[in-house]
Amino acid sequence: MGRVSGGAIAFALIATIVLAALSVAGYSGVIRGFGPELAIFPAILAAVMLAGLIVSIVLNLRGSKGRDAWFSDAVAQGFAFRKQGSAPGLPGLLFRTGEKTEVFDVVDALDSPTPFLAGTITGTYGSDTSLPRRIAASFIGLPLPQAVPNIVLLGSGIGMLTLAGVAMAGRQRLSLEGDFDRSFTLYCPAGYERDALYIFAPDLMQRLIETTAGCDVELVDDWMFVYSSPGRYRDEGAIGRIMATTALVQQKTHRQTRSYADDRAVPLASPRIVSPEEHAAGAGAVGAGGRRIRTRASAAQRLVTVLSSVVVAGALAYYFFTEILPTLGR
Amino acid sequence: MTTTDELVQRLSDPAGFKKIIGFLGGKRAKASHELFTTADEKGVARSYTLDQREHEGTGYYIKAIGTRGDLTAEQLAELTRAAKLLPLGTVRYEGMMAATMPEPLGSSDDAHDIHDLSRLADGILVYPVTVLNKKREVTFAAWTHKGDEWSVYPIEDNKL
Repeated sequence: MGRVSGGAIAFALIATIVLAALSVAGYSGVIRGFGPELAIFPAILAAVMLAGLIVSIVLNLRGSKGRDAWFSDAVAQGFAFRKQGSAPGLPGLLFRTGEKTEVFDVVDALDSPTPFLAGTITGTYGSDTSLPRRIAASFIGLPLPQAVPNIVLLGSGIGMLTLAGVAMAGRQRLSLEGDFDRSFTLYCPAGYERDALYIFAPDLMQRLIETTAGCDVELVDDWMFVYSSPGRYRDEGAIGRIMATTALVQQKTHRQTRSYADDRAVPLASPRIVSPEEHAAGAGAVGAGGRRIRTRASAAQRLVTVLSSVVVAGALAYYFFTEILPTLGR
Repeated sequence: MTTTDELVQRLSDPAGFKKIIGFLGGKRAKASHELFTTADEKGVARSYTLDQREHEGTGYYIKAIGTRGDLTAEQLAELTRAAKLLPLGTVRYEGMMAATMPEPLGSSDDAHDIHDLSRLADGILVYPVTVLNKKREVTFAAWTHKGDEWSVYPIEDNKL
């Protein structure tokens, strides 16, 4: 759960006091026409708001404690730390599909032997659909030795990508062997199934099951992102766990991606030197068809679109048939 | 098609800078031309786009040029990664405020994060570009090296 702002807490506190006062006034018969029988409603509302307030304050305090531990661990390891700022232009789905994206509590360990970037991202997702939503998610970004096709692993259950309204076309789904399918559903761009099988060798799949089960994972360009619910890494020792996980996953992902080559990519004129034109064409990396997975509206978004269309159509039909059509017959 | 050699020739004439900077930038054009003609090293290079952002219809680029020729795949991968890590706020602010020729690269007190990505020892200059019309390309950049200072001026394609 994201942090509840001080302004929201102050507003809820004032509203609770006003509702409680209204209820007391009702019970004491101070307001004419607003007796005890009606005073129960503001009393119930005030009780609900008070409970919400207490939960928010407790969560904020716990989050604040976790953030302190997260911050001091990062400083102890000599990593850079950023409390808040607009999101970087990273290629991950939560970075590239959101609007008004911001990052919080970002630990930048990209210069360390086990490089990673970790923090919390918030943003508005699906703002071009009927179901926009603002969500917060924890993320870890691990740099890869070279660019790979865009592959998304949706964890079992409702993960952060699903909450953000990201859905993949079914024909991009690829079934892998063993227990992997129980932990993740793998999606890759059409035509890149063999590449995905090459990258996701059994030992890497096993390592991902051990370290990132329950999370959504994305490989895109030369990054691997792990998305999970916010607050997952806000406790003492979280940085140490991320470093250990990074080392484990890095070893396997690097071995599987270092030698990856896409024969559909535009070949470079020279193995090392890249001209501006070749760079713009994405030469020497991944073919255009494999760089980004195709996303579509989620089932919930489509349902809301259909329902709202039905409501609008019904309202129009009602208006036309009851108001206009009778006049035509006159 | 315009070549970098043609552009160097054009910029060696005061009218060349006037054309790319615009009639309102007469002073800047004059100072840039003076720097360009007296610099220890100078040139025009085709730029690499390391990253591209968009905010409310305005396009923001993070570009790089190699003053000693084309860059390697490794250099580009490292620079691209560093460019993508910059927050949008920084890219937007520095796209407007970063120093351009005749001012030295990185000389703007609070707008030098993008310039700091430059690898001056290797002759690689990294700079921001803002385009109000997203379809407008900024393919080339003029550069100078005088003493310890480097300078860059992005050239919009419509000014060629």
